[in-house]
Amino acid sequence: MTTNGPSLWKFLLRAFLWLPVCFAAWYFSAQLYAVVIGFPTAWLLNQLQPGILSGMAQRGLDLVFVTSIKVRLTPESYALKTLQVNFLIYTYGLALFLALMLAAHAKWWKILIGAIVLLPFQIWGLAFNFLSHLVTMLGPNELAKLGFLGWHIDAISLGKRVGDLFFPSLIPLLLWVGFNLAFIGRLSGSRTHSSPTLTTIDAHAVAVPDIVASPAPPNKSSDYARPSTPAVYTVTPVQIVSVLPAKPIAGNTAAPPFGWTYPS
Amino acid sequence: MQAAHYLMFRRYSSALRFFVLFAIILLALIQLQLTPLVNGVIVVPWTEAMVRISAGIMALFDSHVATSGNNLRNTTNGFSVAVESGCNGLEAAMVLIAAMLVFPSPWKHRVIGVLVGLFAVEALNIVRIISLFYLGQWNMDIFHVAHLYLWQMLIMLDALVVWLVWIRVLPPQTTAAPLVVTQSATMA
Repeated sequence: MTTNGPSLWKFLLRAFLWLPVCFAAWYFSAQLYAVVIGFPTAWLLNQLQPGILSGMAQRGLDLVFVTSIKVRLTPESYALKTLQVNFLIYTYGLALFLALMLAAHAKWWKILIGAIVLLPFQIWGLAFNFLSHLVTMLGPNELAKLGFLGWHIDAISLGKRVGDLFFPSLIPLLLWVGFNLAFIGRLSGSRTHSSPTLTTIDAHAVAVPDIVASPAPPNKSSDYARPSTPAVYTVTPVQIVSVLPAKPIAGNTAAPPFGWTYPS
Repeated sequence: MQAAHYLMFRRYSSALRFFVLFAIILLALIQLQLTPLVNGVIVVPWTEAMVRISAGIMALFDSHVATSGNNLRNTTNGFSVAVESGCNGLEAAMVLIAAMLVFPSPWKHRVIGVLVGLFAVEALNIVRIISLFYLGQWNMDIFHVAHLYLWQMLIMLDALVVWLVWIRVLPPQTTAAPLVVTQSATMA
């Protein structure tokens, strides 16, 4: 079994320890996010449908969007329709992302970039939630007046589904994967390289390489523990013409200096 | 330096390919799930099966649980929960399936991974349904926090854990890698 791969179990343990801490921190500071995602969402909705919103307010953990759609109460007075949305269902992914990144000993700037990248997806969820409520609230005639076509309503339905069920919890995971490609690459290569079996090839049977580096730089893009045995290779990207039977290089147990690869 | 850039390019081009294919497959699965045929043949029966399995487990220690379609009800106090699309674990399962299909690995291991992954995700989903059923009878505020945020995170995290463990237990790569170490490799 593996002896030199990154420790998945230690990472998972750290993630599960960080999760309640990050969740509590997120939950008790959640009211602050109303401003962070509320205003950009209102701006976006007004760009998509000019003048659709006349105001926005925060009521506890809900955002109240005040539309410009009028409801006549009496011949002399009218009210504006409002929509109330729980914005926390779009932001909890921040806690998940923080827990994963802290468990991975990520650098602060990566966490900051990740938190910023999450914002458009949170705004997406909130905006489609609003639009979905709007479609439900208005009749076909009112929707037609606002310029909503049949496919718009289908798109809103799909957008809300993706924004509700996938983005909040999936994007943090994808961001974590994106920031930890080297870890995943080593994870997939850890069994491959658990025994000293670096493949050797027939030097006469390969095309002349166009890029040669000596020595290869150590993997600096990872936040993870380095391989226990430091090694420097002469790395030569080549087109393999024929491959000899694998022949181990004694004592070489380092993880590969690249992430996962697809078969060519 | 040139090789370093090449390595970087290979890593990120592979990763980009992974993310793009993952998004395409996931979107296709979401669309498929929304079609009336798949909804009627798979999603609804699947959801009801989840409810029945959850009720069957609860019946081991609670005799006041009844089911009706996708509803789970306490026959004593009348509290009931409806397990809707979105609460049946299929979203996390679809994410896991897409990630396993896209990650370079032998087909046999993809199939095994998908089957084991489905089991792992749905097993945790049953824990979610049961826990929410009792949390709702105890405290609705905590029920909402657990339902809307906590369990959503945990189910998707479960999918990530299964995926990482699956990658960990994949057999050694047998495909030709774009980089090989020649016999002139030297140890530092």
